[in-house]
Amino acid sequence: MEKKIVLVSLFAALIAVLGLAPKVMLASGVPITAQSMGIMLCGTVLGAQRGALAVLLFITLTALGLPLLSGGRGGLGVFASPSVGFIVGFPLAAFVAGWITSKLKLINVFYSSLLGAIIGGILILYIPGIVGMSIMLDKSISEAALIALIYLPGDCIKAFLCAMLTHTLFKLRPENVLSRI
Amino acid sequence: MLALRYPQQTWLEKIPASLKMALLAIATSGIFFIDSTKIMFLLFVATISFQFLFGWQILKFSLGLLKPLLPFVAIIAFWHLFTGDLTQGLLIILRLFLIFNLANIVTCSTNMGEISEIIEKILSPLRFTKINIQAVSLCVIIFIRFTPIVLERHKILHLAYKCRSGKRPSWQIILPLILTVMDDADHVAQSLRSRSNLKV
Repeated sequence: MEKKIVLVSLFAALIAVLGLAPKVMLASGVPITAQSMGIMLCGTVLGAQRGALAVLLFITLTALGLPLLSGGRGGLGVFASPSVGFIVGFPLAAFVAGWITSKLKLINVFYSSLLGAIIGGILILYIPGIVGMSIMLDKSISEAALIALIYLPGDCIKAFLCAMLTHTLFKLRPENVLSRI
Repeated sequence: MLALRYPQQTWLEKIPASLKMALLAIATSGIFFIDSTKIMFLLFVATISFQFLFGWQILKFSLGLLKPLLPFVAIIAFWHLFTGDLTQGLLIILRLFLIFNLANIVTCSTNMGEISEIIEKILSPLRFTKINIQAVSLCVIIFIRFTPIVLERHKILHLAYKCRSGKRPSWQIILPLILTVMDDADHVAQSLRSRSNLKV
């Protein structure tokens, strides 16, 4: 129980730190941060439930006013920004990423976490993300999807890195990749 | 250190958080019914002027908080320049700034403890479920205590990588960071087991 509580809290802290780390610019000029990779990692490393709880804790404390989202955003304002759908979808994304990684125990951890990160961290996350953008920017769903496309290359890179990190962690310390236990 | 607060005390802090949040919810819902750019602009100017009443420092701080919206402004402006409907684009941009600014006023003028109390009230029906409220409080405490520590560790790893390779690290330091977090988790869990009386 204690280990579970501590892991959930420390991974929530890890998501915050990854968002505060310097941004990387894509060739398209869109800045990407490692924060959404932190969401994917919560799922692929901690598993569905613990991963989703860590993300939920992070979002709740951000809503309470801690400026922990990438770019130093925080407070209730983030729920009034165009990224509201993505933020609300983060726990679901971590849950699905973790669920897929833990269900595909028979295949290599790299591929199971890559699949988890792509389905959970991209496909599932983009559904509320696009709906949120559509409402906040007053655009149709297809128009909002077109806008969200600029984040896709960055998210694909992050899903790949997430799988690589989970795989390396599994090789170094298999007991720490709770989604595979 | 982590909280998002105004640099100075204002009388807004004295208004109950529940009233501020209720007003914010009503205002946010109402703003979506406004389709006049002029009214939206006037309302935005009114909120900015309201913040100016508390002094230049608070206004500067509040305007700084609006910066994360700029990439979205660029996207909307580009989109509406392309479709030729600039008035609609301007209306959306003003609405975004207005709602975001109002929410920031509430956040920056409200004690984190007060907001947390409201959330606890909203979540109170959960007491009848199996959710361990003590564990949730402990999670919050560990998170607030350890975020600056993990951030400091990230800085050290960043510096170490830069010193040894001469390049700026990006994803390379994430794995060592996760490993240190896992080590911390072991130590903190052990301390909790031996010192706390957490009911499982």
